[in-house]
Amino acid sequence: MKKIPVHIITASILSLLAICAVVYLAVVFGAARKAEPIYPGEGVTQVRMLSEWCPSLKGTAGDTEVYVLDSGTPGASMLVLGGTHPNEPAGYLSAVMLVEYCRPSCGILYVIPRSNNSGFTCTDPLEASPMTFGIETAGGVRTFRFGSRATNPVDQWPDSEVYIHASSGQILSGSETRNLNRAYPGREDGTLTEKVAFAITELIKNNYIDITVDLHEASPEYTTVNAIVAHEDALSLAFLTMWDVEESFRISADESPRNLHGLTHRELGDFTDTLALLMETANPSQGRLRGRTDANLVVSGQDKFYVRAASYDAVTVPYDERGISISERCARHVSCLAAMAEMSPFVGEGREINLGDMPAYEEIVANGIGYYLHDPV
Amino acid sequence: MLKYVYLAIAAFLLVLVVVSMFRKKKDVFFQIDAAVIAVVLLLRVLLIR
Repeated sequence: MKKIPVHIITASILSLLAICAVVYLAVVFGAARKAEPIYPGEGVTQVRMLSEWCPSLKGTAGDTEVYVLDSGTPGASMLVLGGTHPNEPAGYLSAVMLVEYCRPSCGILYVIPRSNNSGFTCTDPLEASPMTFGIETAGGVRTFRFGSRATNPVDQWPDSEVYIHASSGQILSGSETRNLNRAYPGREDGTLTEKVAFAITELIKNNYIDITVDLHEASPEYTTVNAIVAHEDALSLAFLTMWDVEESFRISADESPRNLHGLTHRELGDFTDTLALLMETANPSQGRLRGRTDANLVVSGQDKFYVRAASYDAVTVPYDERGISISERCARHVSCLAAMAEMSPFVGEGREINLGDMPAYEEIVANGIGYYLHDPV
Repeated sequence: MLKYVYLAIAAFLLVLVVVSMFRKKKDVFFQIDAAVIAVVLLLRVLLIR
């Protein structure tokens, strides 16, 4: 009987191990494709799909839920975008909280918690990000996905060497091709990311959205953080909001740069009649100076390297051992949204949107964001 | 279209890696390297991420 060479045996064993690894990774990565449930609260009157505003999105990873909270009382309309960057979890969680808790008393609120739905299905390479994080609610821990800044390359690949923004001709790094917040106003026949941007722009135009707020997070050492960035038409609303919340926390208001294209606060203000704003909170799990990156860092925001960096004045926000918890970051977003709604009559020809009985900043920080979320089922 | 060109390149590379893994004699470390690269290429070819 012919003896099988040793190198064929080792190659066969290694091939088998490689196939086992691929099967295991397929199961792990496949789980990220399954969206965690969002439980519409009493305020939600309709759940629509983004593909209604761009039919070519239907059946793709870019299609996502649009929650409509119609108070029944005529007034202004507001659109809240969460999950533009799915690695910025306070933006996503704040939008989920609105869907599950908010009951507007005047006007219409539209909420898209997972604006870049595809970005929730993977994490960024070389960042060691956790795939999920847990939020404690009254009925147990709810698990949410921690995603990528950009569209999953499985859904849109390959990237071009440079990204040329369609309507302005602006040239950016090729990796920005999959960044939703560089794709506005979008293109109906463009890439998946551009289609998502196009659908959101069409939603704003067709539903006469008065105020659009895009919820983000940034590194604690970034210059634009704990800030509202507003299109020049929305600066008054930004300043009114800043003054309204200043007893609880400090936030700055910056004008949207006129030469940086593709962003919500620039293009939605230029291409639609909405007042376009974007908000940033400080998220240590995104920062370049962070240490161990895990779900605890995402939730607690506590990192000893940022404490040290703060002692050298290397961060742009107040930072100490207590960290910046996700509840605090969500509290900032939610409080500012409520303040913007409250100030809407002063900028919107008397038309008002009222988000109803929303908790104050201090209450959200004290109770935790999970207190205002639905229990896990 | 470009996506399928890239996939074809990745699949071709995968075939080369696997073939070389079986042809190279008496170097188990080379084979381990090849197996690890095959995992990455196979994930890409199957569009798993």
